[in-house]
Amino acid sequence: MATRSCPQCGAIVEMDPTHISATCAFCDANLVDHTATLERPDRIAPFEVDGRRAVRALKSFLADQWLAPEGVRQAADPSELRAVFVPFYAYDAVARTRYECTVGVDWQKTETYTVEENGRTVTKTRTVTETEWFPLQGTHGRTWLDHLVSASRGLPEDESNRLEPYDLGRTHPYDPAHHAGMDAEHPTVPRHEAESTATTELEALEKRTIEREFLPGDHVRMLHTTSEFDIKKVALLLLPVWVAVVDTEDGQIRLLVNGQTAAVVGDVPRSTTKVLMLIAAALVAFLVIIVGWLVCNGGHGLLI
Amino acid sequence: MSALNAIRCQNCGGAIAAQAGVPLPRCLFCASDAVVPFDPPEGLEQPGQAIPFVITQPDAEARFADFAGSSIWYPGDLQSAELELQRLLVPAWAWNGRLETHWTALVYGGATKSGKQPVAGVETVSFQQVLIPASKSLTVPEMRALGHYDEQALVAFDPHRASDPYEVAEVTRSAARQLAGIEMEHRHRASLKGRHKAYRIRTSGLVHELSGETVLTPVWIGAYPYGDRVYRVLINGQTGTFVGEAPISWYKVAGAILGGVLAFLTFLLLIQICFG
Repeated sequence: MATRSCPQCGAIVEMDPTHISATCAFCDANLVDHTATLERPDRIAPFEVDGRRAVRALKSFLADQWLAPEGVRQAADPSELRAVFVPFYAYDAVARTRYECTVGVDWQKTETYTVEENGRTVTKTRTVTETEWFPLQGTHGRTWLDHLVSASRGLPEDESNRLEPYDLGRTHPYDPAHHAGMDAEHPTVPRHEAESTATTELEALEKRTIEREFLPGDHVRMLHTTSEFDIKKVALLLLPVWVAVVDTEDGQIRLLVNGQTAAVVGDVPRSTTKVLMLIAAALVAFLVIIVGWLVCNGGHGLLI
Repeated sequence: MSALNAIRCQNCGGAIAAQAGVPLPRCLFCASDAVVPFDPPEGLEQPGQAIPFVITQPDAEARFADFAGSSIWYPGDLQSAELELQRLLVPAWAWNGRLETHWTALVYGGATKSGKQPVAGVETVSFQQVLIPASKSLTVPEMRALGHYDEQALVAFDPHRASDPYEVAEVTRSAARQLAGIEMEHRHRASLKGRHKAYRIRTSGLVHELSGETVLTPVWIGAYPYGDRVYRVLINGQTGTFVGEAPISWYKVAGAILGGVLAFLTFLLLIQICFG
């Protein structure tokens, strides 16, 4: 295998000698030889989406971008489509979180009120929902399995998050033969940096889980959490990604396709004309509603 | 395993094995005769212990008869339905470990406007040789409904000498560990809810020092066709706990509704006659 590195985005890619590329799959810069000792992956997931299905997924994704210029939405087949195995770290970690919050519990109250009907004062009752608030503090514990963090400088973490999920149950023990003929990128994100990213993301997941799935009551406010993590296992995985470059009138767009699920990720330009038209339509609808309300209420209220 | 007789059901996917020479003409899980020879994959852990049967065949049949006559809405001919109860050993895992459960709950009481208040806590329990079912053919509600087994009764099991057929253990240790965590948390949650008299409870558990082995548990199983469906009954082969569902006789339901309407109309007529 031949190893090349990208001086622009930092990606290091292992290539089949019969499949050498002169340019980086992620940013199209010229690649250079790389002779550093590199970390061997633990597991690899095969491609389950072939090139044709990837192209169909790309076209469907672009067609769904309503605010994109029409030239982008109806773009032809990608000018470039590469199958790349991208490195990820998968973390198993035990999280323990201390939380403090205020929990709201709803209850029903019956109240009486008076109204004027046909010149007479009438007393009626109605049921209203009130919320009673309580302070609560405690701990939450959970084992997080297979939390993925991108180990590639060419694939930023926020983009890799949008590319997930991957079914890691379909991975195999690593063998270079599994990516023969395709590019396989080596990790370029240091382990300590990836671990920091993992714990930051897991901290946010812990807080969200506590708020949505763990706390009792009907409402939550002022939730503060402090988490500690015990990393039990870290595995280096190679996961399949199609990297596509689509030529449009508005320039080149780089899109990624999950090689397992065909999910598409990418930033697509917006048409200024369409955005302005959307804003105008929203304003018109708002004015119609206001005018209609004024007409129904005899012109009172808003103009005062 | 090649000296054993093993089949895979093409209808429900059930995998059953027995010692060589014991015929397996149909699937015990769904009564289908669409079964094919099956070579269990290498590498799956197979049980070395089993819990022996305590419930006898006449006792099992008597329990089914009680079930068939237990509801007026069951069809009258249910008791004579084609049902053959058979002995089957079903895989489970015997686990040792500790469960650390973090919990929150809404409990009744206290001088509050809503009549409830939130509480939170953490409790750790140890468990020894807790049996958690690991069948791929029985459903989770069925396995829970069969109830617990006394794991102290475990004896050595040799598949080549077993007199009863058994389900081939296809749940991997990794999957069984996850099942164990879920099931232990489920049981601990129920215990916490009862002790704290909780209106609503939520839990999150951490499992420590988990170790286990796969074993076999005894079940009487019968599958019977009725109408266009196949119904399944299970009896815990150690405790006799009965699990099963039966068809509803919609003729009886319709008759009861019709009878009720007629009785009501007759009552109205009598009122009309008596009071003009």
